[in-house]
Amino acid sequence: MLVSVDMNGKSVEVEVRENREGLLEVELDGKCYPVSAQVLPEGGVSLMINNESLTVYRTGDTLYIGGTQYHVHADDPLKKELLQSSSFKAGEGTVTAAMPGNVKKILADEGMEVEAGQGVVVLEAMKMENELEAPLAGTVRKIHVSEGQSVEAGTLLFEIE
Amino acid sequence: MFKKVLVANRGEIAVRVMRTLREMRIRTVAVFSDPDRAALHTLMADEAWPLGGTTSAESYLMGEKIIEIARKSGAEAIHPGYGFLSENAGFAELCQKNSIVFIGPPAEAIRQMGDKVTSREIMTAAGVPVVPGFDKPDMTEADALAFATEVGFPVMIKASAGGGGKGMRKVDSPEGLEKALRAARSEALSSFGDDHVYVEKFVQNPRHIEIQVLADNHGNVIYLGERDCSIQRRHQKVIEEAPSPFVTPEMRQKMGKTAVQATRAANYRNAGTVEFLVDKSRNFFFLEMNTRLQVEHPVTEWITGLDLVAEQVRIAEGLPISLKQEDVRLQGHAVECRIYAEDPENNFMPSPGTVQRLSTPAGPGIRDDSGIYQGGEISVYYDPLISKLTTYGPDRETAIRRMCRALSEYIVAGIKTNIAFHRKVLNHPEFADGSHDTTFVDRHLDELMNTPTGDEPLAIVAAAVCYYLDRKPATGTGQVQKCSPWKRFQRSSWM
Repeated sequence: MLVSVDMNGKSVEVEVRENREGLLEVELDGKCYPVSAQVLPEGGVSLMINNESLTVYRTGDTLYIGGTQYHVHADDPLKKELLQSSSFKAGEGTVTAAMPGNVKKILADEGMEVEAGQGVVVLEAMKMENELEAPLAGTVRKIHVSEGQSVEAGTLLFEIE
Repeated sequence: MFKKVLVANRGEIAVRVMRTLREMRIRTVAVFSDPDRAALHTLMADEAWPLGGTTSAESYLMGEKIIEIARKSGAEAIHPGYGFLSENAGFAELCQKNSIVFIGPPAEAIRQMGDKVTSREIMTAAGVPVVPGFDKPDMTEADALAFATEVGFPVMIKASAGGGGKGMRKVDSPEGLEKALRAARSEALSSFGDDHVYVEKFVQNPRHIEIQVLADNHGNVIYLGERDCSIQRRHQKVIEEAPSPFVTPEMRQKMGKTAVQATRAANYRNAGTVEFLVDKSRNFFFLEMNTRLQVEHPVTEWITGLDLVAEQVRIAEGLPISLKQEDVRLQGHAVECRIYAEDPENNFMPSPGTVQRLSTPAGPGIRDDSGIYQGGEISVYYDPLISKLTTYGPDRETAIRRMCRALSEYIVAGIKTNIAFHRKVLNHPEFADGSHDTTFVDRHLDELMNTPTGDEPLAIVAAAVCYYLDRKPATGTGQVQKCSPWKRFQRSSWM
């Protein structure tokens, strides 16, 4: 089975095969690793890659190895190609709330020119104030929230163009 | 002796305080907000009383309500933990009025030390070195400029009522002075309701070193060595250790004696911390006195063998400190990593959510003061500190290696944490040789964020294998893969 794996903005193709003895062989960058895999309870998988023992936990696209998180997305390479060719980029100047919180302050007005990295909205969550910056230089097209408003994760905050 | 004590806090510190109270055979009373009905501290206490409300202001900051619960439950004393009401002089007074013992300093000491200008005055009068500064009501830009020219730029503008980096501005040259004064005043007003600011000489690349003190009602004041808290991000401590790799025995004694002087000058009782800024030539200057138990107190407990919460309770009961200065022995080395629910890859944004999986480190020399459990919720309403991991060893290198090992065992899934960030700091040569200062994180942030762990290819292989396993037709038991060595030796699954 061919698997396309994305990590840190790079994409690699990995081939996973099962040999006659039921052991897995994983091919990456021209190298072949024999892998023994055992599913553990609660999202754990024990892997022995070339006899190197590794316990991995995962939730969605996040893998936990030795206390470190890796964001890795695995998918069918064919499906990915289709997606990419038909995809439209969600506006690069669009900023959404990464987490639920409260809009503490709005630092820019609609129609204002902003630099990339300039603070536009201050979101307060868990006692911390986070200044959300303009991802690119341009004009503030629309601010979708007002001061004092509570927002859910994913709420559209503002757009720069 | 107290039979019942109310803990007016939540999270890891409430849990930590209750553990000692339980060892002292004192019944514990928790208070909890609506979202904390199933929080660890609520479940752990002998009694739990609802405060109602959601935000801190509606719950853990409701002093009157907490007093009422203390009275109803028959608690003789209140331990405030840190944060919330711990440095609120009004609350300490309210306890006294209601004949409930506040496990902490007298209200007057909290009030005086809580005001940066007053505390500077008291310390200067007591002969404690302070950073050269200038303060005058309605200070003008010309006043500030005259002072800055005299001591030399850069200078710091600080809010008198300040803390946590709010109302603070660094000024590098005369041109920036006016703007910084205005910004600091407005921030001080909105954060503390008081726009009083003052100017201080800026100490270049300082270390943050603090002395733990204990003071009882019998005139005894002792110091328990120092903690080095120089690994900070935006004035928030991230990693602490005791002893400091920078402090010599002579300097330790000098700082300790100065801290005792400061404690006496503040007419202080109970556990407290005197914070100093230390420059490259080992000159130290009083920064502030924290009138409560510190987050990082476990590193001091490791190297002294004391339980600081137990000392606090005994002092509040009117007993003397359990040891004399000459009996204090500092042994070995301890390191603390604050585990935050935050995302270092996304500008350290807090990361609330459900803890889907939790696996905590164990073994020799490890202590995990945690406030969470698997399946529990990290609420958006409170501080993102979920645990304090401390390790101990006979020397600094062993304690650090032990911390790296402990962090590699620490799995928190479902939310983002700074566990990997800690490992990168600990492995950095500047931290390893102990030459770092408070500017470390700022200077090395990009490098820390972009250093690969070396396990990336393993992560790719693991992701591909997991994807394969998810899509592979079920084999017999459905969970156990054919390739399992256990299966091949006809052993049944051990799960």
